Amino acid sequence: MSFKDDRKALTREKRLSSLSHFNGTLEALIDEVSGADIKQKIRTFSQIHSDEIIYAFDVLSKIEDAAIVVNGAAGCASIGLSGSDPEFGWYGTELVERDTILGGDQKLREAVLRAYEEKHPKAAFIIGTPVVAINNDDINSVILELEDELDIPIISIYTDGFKTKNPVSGYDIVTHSILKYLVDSNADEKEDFINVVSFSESIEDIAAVVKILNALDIEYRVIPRFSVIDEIRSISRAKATIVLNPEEGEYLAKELEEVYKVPYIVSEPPIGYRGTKKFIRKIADFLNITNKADRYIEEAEGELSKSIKKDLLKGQKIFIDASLSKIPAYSRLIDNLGGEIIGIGAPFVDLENRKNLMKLDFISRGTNVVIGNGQYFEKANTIAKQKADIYVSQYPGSSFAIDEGACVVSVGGRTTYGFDGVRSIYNAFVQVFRSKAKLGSGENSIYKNNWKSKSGNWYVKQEVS
Amino acid sequence: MSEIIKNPRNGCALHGALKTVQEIKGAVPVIHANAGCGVINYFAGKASSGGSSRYSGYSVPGTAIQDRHVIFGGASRLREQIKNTIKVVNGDLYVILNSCESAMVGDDVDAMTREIVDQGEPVVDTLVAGFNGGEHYGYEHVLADILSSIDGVKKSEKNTDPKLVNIFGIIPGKDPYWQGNLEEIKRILEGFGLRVNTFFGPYGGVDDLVNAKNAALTIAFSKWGELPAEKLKEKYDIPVLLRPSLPVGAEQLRSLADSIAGSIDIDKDEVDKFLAKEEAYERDLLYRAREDIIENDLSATAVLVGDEEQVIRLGAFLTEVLGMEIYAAVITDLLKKDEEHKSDNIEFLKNIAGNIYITSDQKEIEDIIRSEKPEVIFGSSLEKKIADKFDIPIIETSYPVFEKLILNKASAGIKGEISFIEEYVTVAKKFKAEKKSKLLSYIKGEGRESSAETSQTVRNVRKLSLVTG
Repeated sequence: MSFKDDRKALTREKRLSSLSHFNGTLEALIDEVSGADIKQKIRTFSQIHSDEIIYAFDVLSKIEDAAIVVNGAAGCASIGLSGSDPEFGWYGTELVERDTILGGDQKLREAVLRAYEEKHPKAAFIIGTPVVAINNDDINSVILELEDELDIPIISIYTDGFKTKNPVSGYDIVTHSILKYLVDSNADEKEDFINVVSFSESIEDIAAVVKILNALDIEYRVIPRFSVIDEIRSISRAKATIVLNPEEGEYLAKELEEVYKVPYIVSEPPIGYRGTKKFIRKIADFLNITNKADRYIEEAEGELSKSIKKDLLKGQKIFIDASLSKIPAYSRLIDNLGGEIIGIGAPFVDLENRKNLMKLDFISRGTNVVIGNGQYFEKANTIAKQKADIYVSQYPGSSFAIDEGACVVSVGGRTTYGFDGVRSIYNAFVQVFRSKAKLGSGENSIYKNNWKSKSGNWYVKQEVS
Repeated sequence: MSEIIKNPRNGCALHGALKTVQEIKGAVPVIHANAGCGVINYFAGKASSGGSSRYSGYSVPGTAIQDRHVIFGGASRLREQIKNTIKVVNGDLYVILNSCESAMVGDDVDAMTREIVDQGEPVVDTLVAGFNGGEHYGYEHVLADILSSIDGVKKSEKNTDPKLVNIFGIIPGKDPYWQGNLEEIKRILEGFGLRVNTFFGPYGGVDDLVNAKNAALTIAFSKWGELPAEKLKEKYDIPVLLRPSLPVGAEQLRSLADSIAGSIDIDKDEVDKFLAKEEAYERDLLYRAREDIIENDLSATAVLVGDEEQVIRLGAFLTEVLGMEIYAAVITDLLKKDEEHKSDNIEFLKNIAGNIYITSDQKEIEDIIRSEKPEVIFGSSLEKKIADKFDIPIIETSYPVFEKLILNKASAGIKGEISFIEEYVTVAKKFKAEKKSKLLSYIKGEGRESSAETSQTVRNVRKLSLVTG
């Protein structure tokens, strides 16, 4: 059933029973999430983490010809600095106490008008924040009035920072807005390109995928990040959609399939040998270019295998922290290199991405799994207790693991997709062995020893509603 | 000035308080807000140049409040979080930072703090709602609140040390060179025979907060140091010395020494001996640099963009030592509508720059630069775009500075003076080299430029010729 006509996107919790708090064995987690819905849990101690405002902003700020207004207090809009890009322009309504009492509608109006006059955007997005949500400011009246005056779509992004525990809801909110307000509904005539859906991938990873698509002469459009509004409008006319990380982009692909009959080529993130080959073959099968794809795979794989030593990670105990949909591919790559997975971290599990847990049949069911955004204190607990040698993470702030005795392989800023990704991840492991730098010690740990001797699930409780 | 801000470079009060607390060794910030408020500060800061402290980013404890806490109140969630924070993370002082949400919902945070303090735990709280002010406000208020309460949670006898001084006014992170500057000012004050509570960085910590009451003097090196300094004066009768900025160069060091001597006893001979050494060192290195200064056209015209303290500090040096002309100074501090500070530095600013503007709006800043037509910009990385557009060099001196790591490099004192000249000459040389290669292409007739661009290049050729003879 399409969600397009709903006023707002549902949170991940409501739509897919997403769970962001769990600590236990792989077996216990599989048991926990195997029903028709997943029971919510909470943490009675928590650490700060990204929210859906940050995720939504990140995506929208990468659409080249859109204008962004962050409608909130002074600090909310400073998220725009995070891209380190002097070329990027955005606006903050900078609400003050008076606006929290009398409403900030006038400032919002002024901000949208300014953004329109200065940037001449093809669309404007208004990003919601806690103050506006609590105050219940009337954003829609401002939009209705301004849309009459200006000839561009002005779109409210219903983020508030506290209605979901899962920041990926921010991608869903963006998806919903794109489908509802931008995508061309006249989609009967298909064109010769495929949509490549990316929400969180680094530019390095997208480049690795583009390299594959170029080698196979496939026309593509990367959306919604690194695109322009007209490209987003055209996605309903694509001949197919692939999604680089299904737990982030599947919502968009499924809606495109259902509403606009754009086939969704279901795949997995192209990580590791197996993940990359599967990814390429799925696309090739759909486009009937299997032979060409096989030749490409044979050549790229052959070249790569020469430089990979199979037992690089022999005897190494590894904690892997990544999106659940990437965990099986990372784990298999580590397993193939001789490493042992002793802990898994992932931000959430829901009714869709839970299938990834079943793909982990080659690792022990007793392996500790921490489900949570960040929550490094629980990961520190596992790393210290299990004496992990290496902590592999796609997230920022990974250096804490050094103080728990592990070396850190940070994959966030390097190529991880495609055959190039295999080489890059492999090189990261080689580097970690080479350096073993003295960048910290147990004395630096911010966590109390008493905590690390406790059970890791101490602060995870069943939610009582 | 428009209330809407394009490319806001200032975070909110919560961000300022978080920046402050996380840089005090032994202090643990506990954020009572939705999950992402503190993370925004982390990502913005990570893009800039200062590295990360022990309690930063995803390691910061926080209530990550949800819908139900907004509707029914979040006090009980906060109580649970404080209790468990003390059990999980190491700390000598836990500082609860309250946000927009907890202010709007009206959580009784004081009661939660009192309850835990009654159990003998070192916890203080502060209200730093984002809609109450910017990062500068957050810095001064969290320090004032900690200094008001710390005696109640970290008991110790008052024992005044006649040589101990507190220093405030340099906001961690907001001055890209804060770490080096604190080290340098500590070195200088120790050279005067004093002991220093720096509070932040490798030599600071919670002990400095406890010992603050034992100081003989508090020096506020910007107006943002005034509130915590006044708080100590009110509670412990510690005199306050208000300075508009950190000193740069030996002459300003002497002026600082003189004004300290007006407040407390310092050994004049020791100070003179130290200053003589500093002067000799400065002379020696300036001698080495003078050829580069002359040959690279450093005495140019400029626009300065940055926080008031940085503008005063740098502006005085640029005009007095390098003989520059500052067409305009753009002050980027996020001010409240009702100014609450005693310090009024407008006279200092007037001595430095022809025109003074107060704004952190990127468009307004670019418009100012466009109309002032300087030959060089001193500002943040956000001014790079306009510098590129007008093909003039930019020296990054204010927040945010992208694509760099700055740990102990200073821009104040004597070491800062020298490293600033290094930076300025480096940028000027690189700019000149690029210009030369453009000119070479030009005379070879490669990639013919439009007539406007050509005439601009010719103008620059003339300018370069004047300098190089």
